Amino acid sequence: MTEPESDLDLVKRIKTDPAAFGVLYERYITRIYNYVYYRTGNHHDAEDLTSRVFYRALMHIEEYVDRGVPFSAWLYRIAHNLVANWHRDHARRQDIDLEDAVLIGPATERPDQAAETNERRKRILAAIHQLPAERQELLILKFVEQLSNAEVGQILGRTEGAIKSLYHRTLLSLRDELAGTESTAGE
Amino acid sequence: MSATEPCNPSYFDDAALEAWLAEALSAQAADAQAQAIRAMVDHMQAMLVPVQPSMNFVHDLEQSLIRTAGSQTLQQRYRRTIFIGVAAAGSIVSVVGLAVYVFRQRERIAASLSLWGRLS
Repeated sequence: MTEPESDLDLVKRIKTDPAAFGVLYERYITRIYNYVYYRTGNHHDAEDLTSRVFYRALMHIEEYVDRGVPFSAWLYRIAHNLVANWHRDHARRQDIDLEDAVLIGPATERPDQAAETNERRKRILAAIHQLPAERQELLILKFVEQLSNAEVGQILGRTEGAIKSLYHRTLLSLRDELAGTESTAGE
Repeated sequence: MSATEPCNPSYFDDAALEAWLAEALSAQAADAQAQAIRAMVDHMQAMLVPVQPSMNFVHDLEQSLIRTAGSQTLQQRYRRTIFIGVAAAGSIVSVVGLAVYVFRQRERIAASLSLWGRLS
């Protein structure tokens, strides 16, 4: 069985063979789409920004040089910048509606259990959206993209240790935030 | 598959989380706090699941990108050919110019020498 061509080899080949970009696209489209979707909260903007990510990558592909940063991290950096611009332009970080995607309980749950689960998930989601952008990004990369701390570090431009520490601090602040909202809800 | 249908969540590093919980939380509060964080992480794992973009979107964007990549490659090739052509023409002009200059200088020197010979 032949080994799949590396990202770097594909990047080099694009100069003579445009189809090589198609291979890279197929490799990363779902991951980039997911990242953008969870940062914007709707499919319409996710499609628009994902298109822009790949067009920008194509236009600047000659600028990509492998200096220890993988192509995927370069692509995520483009996505990060475009999403940051999007948030700045729209100034609507709070205006995120992910309920269709995330409030899916197990089919075996009773209706009352499902309602309780959904309520709890809504609270968690609201708490996540209160986090600074970098922490939201970290949670998306770890939970949705299931990347390791080292991979997340390459994307966010931090060390593996820094990511581990940021992750733990994020969990603790989320827990505190949730404890606060639950006590308020219980009053 | 619909655009919002989640994929199956795959491996997540539970062992690392457990190790950190044991290390980070104080003994007396450990059980309650660790349980709360575990439950929160479980909910997040259930919520933050990968979604699939629509097939039409993926296909249309791919076709459009490959077309753009193709025209970009052609433009680069033309640009390179034009660049090489201009550089070659420039070199030829320089060589011809230098040859004309040398030829004229020789003629001028020869004319000066013959004039000097006649005068002396």
